[in-house]
Amino acid sequence: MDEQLLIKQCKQQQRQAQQRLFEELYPSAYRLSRRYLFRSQDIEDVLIGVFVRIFRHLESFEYRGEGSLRKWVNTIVIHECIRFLSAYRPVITEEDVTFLAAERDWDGDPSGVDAEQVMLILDQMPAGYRTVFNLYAMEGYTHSEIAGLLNITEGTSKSQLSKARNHIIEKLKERKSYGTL
Amino acid sequence: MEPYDLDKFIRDKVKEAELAFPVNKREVRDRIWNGINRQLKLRPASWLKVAVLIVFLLIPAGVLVLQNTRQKYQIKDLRNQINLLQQDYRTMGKKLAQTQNQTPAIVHDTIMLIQPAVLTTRTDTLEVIRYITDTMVVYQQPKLAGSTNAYEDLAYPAADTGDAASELKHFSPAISEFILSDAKKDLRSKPGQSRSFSIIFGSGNTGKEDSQMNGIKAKL
Repeated sequence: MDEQLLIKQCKQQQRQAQQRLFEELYPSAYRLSRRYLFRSQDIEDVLIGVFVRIFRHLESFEYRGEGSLRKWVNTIVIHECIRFLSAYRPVITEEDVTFLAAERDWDGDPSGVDAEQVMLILDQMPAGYRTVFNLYAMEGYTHSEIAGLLNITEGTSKSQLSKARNHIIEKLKERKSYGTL
Repeated sequence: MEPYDLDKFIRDKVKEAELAFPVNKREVRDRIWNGINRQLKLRPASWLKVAVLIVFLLIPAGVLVLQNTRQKYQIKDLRNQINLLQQDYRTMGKKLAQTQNQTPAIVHDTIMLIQPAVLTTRTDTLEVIRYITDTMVVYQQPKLAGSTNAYEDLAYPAADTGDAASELKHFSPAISEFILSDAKKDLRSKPGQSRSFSIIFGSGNTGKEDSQMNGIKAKL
């Protein structure tokens, strides 16, 4: 069905159309939220909040061609994930960024590292590192945007990204040295 | 390799891993959809439920309050009536003595003692009777020697010159018997309606005949 028509029907509170839209958006929303959260229960809770928010605010959404809906939904997913993560404590606390951690050497040869292991490394990272890394490296946010989203300074965002990269490199090296690669 | 390449490497691996995510698991999808549905439906329904609940809670409470208020007013009204009646009969007891020369004495605006023990009332007769039975204090003259009825006793107390004759004997309750001459079946006459019956005032310890002899006929 035409996406625009589906949106129109959803705006008219047609439950069947809402279900269809959910079915279409659910996989990408699940994948996106999984980058920030790794407990399935948390992901389910966040996705419920995401879609409730989508259906309640769909009236304010303006269709601007193909992909605009997905972009809008992705923004909501990211916002909801961050909100969930910072519900009990801030994802990142402000830090002294006078000296940014020097990024470690990376020989760029992670051959043999499978996707599952990379996901494990990311899951084991502190939430602050993971969030900033995801926003910067995966979603393409700028430090300025990240700072606004997480309510931190740009310096902190840069620092967190640097630490996240070092963490990943270290873990990749560990795995290589232990012969897990 | 530049950090960008690390980012690209991670990005590619993550996207690869995401393909294996259980996004097609029906039960997870259904659980999430049910959660969404519940929240979307609950919002208006919860308001409605709360509103209905409040109404259901308030209706009986409101009825109780109304009933209570009504009862309070009724009780207040009855108390006022009782107070008035008490005043009436306290006064009536005193006035009995003043009516011995058969001059009508107004006891109260609703009760009039026309002659000894002949009363007219515009109040609920049943209330009057109940009150008389319960609380009335009657000053009765000792029977005069040679007199045959209570009228004489009350009408001519001064005729007796003995010591006992001048004493007013106070006892309560003093009514031994009601003789309902009229409206016997409809004692609950409305205020303002005239009902006629007799009340015998007396000691009540001498049987019907004596009682009638010693009593006073009252008309309500």
